[in-house]
Amino acid sequence: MQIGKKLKVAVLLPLFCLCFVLNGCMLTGAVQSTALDSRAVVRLIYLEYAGEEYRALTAVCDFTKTGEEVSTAAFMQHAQGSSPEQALLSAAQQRGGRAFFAQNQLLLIGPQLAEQKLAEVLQYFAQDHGAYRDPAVWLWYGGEDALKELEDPMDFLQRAESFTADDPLGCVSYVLEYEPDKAAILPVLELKEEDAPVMQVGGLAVAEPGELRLYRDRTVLQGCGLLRGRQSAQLLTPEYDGAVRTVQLEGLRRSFSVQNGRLRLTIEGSGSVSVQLDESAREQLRQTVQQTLADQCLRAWSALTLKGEEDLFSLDWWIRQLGADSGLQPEFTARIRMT
Amino acid sequence: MRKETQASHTALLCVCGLSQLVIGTAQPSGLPAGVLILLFALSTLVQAGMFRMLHGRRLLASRFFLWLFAVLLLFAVGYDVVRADRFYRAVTSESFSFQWLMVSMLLLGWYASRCGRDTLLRAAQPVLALLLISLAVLGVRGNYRLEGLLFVQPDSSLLPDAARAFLEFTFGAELLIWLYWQECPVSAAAADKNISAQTARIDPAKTAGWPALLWLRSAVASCCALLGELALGARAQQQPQLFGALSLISAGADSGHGGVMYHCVWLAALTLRVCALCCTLFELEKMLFRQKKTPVYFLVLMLPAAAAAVFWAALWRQNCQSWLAGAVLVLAAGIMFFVKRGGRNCANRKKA
Repeated sequence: MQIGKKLKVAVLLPLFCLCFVLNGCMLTGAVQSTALDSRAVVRLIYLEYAGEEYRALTAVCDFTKTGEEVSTAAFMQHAQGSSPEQALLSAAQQRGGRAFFAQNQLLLIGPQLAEQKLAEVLQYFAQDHGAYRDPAVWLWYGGEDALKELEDPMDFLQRAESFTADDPLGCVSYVLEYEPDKAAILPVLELKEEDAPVMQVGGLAVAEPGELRLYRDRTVLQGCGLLRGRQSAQLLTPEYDGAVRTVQLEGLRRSFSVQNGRLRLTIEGSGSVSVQLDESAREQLRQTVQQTLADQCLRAWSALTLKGEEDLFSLDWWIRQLGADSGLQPEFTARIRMT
Repeated sequence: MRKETQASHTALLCVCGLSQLVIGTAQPSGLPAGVLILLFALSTLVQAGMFRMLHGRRLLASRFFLWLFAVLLLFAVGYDVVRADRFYRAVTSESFSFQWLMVSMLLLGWYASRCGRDTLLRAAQPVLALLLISLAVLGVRGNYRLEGLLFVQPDSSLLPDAARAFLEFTFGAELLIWLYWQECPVSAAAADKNISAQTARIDPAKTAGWPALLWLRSAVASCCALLGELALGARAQQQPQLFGALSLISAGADSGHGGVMYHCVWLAALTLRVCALCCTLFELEKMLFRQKKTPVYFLVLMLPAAAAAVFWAALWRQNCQSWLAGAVLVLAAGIMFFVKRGGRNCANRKKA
């Protein structure tokens, strides 16, 4: 009995401890995993559909460490495949290393893909999320070559990422926000090269199976941000009394109500003018601003929901919630407090 | 049961229940939140009824019930191991074989069962605190839209999914172990050979808080379903790992850590759940075989649990949910049958 106990303590206990430590190492990936700097870290994905095949282009980052500083460089790699996954993986792993998608924040989509296979691709990214972070979706008209021929891909990448994060017009959508079986609003990303490369939203496209409608009107862009409740600030320059005034609008938000059985969407917020105005002029300016905001909403709504039937802004929810009459056509107003 | 033991038992129970919610199943629920909430309420009614039937019975006196209990727990352990594997796969890009995960979780379960229930009870409160904090942070940081909520349109095509969700929620393994803890409160007692002779009946006074606990469970589950739909809209019902997706979004907003903190806490909670199940299973087996510590227990506990895990894994790969539903229904019917029989035996013994 005594010997048995000693044996237990001397042999079995260290053995089990070893087992647990080994298991811990396996579980945390300390044994099998590859370090991040020897993996293909994908930071941008471009997908296009051509000739029954998916074409993928990925920006893969390389890290080089010199002393304390870590410098990163991006390489554009492209490949084709019969499924999005196949194309993506072979593009990312072209130069060796296992692909790592968890830092990817951008998904650029080509026009052909948006027209024909958008639902499949969004479904793939939404479901097969093995460490995909929910990336922002942009429509990219520049094509594969424009991305391949970039002089400084890393610079493009950083600009695109910070532009997406800033989201000045409130039009960026992420993969998981797109609802299945619904037309999708895709913002268009453009690179404008004047003095320095500048990112901008080139328009909005509504993608339905077999159809892609593009709107480049800036009013539509601004209205879309307002309708989705994502745009909280705007700079308006209405002309009043022979002079152009600059009105800074802040704290913009939507509120819903029912008026005569019809849904009414009101944009509320506050505005400030840089110059001193008397009471009546201020009031008139306020009216102008309100009219402009309501117009933006109406323009965006009537342009994007072409037949007035698609419910791209989830207005249907509010109609049912507030018990308005059916039929989507809402009424747009604005209520601005001038300070 | 002393008061603090009752509290720590409740904490362990909460960890078990919450970890089941947070670590999703292999199949997306396929149901809008409204339907899920209705199902949860319905299932709580059924559970409350079931617990009412159990009042005043001596379950542990029936050997057959012990066996049934053990088999159910065995399947629950296997199920949880497979779920841990799915979760792990969904949130990381590390390749990690199912066998290793199974072996390590079962080893841990075995270790926990040697440590005893008291150790688990002590571990439960910090894990519960972490779990609640992680859920609170997730609840605060998500980007929720009221428009995400769907209007429920009952449809016969929802029935298979609804049946699965109902069964899964009604017969949660944590309820089984709760039942067992009520009857056999002190783990030291379980080491005794004659445990079944000592166990008390389920005392109505002691179980007064059960319905409240059950309703709390269903309320928390409903909140989770709502949270998912508020954040993801119709995409929520397509997510096999709803909370995994939520954590990726919530963490992805500003920092690059990819929700690892959430995943660590949730996996710890799931591990504690597996440990609690294994521990209970071990105590049951001691009663069944009426022996004290021998290495045989190790095999007795681990091999069937591994077999159960492989069974679930195989089942899910073939995607045959009706199979699962059928098996659970038969088991449930079995429980009810033996509860009745046990009650009758009890009454007969009293007369004699």
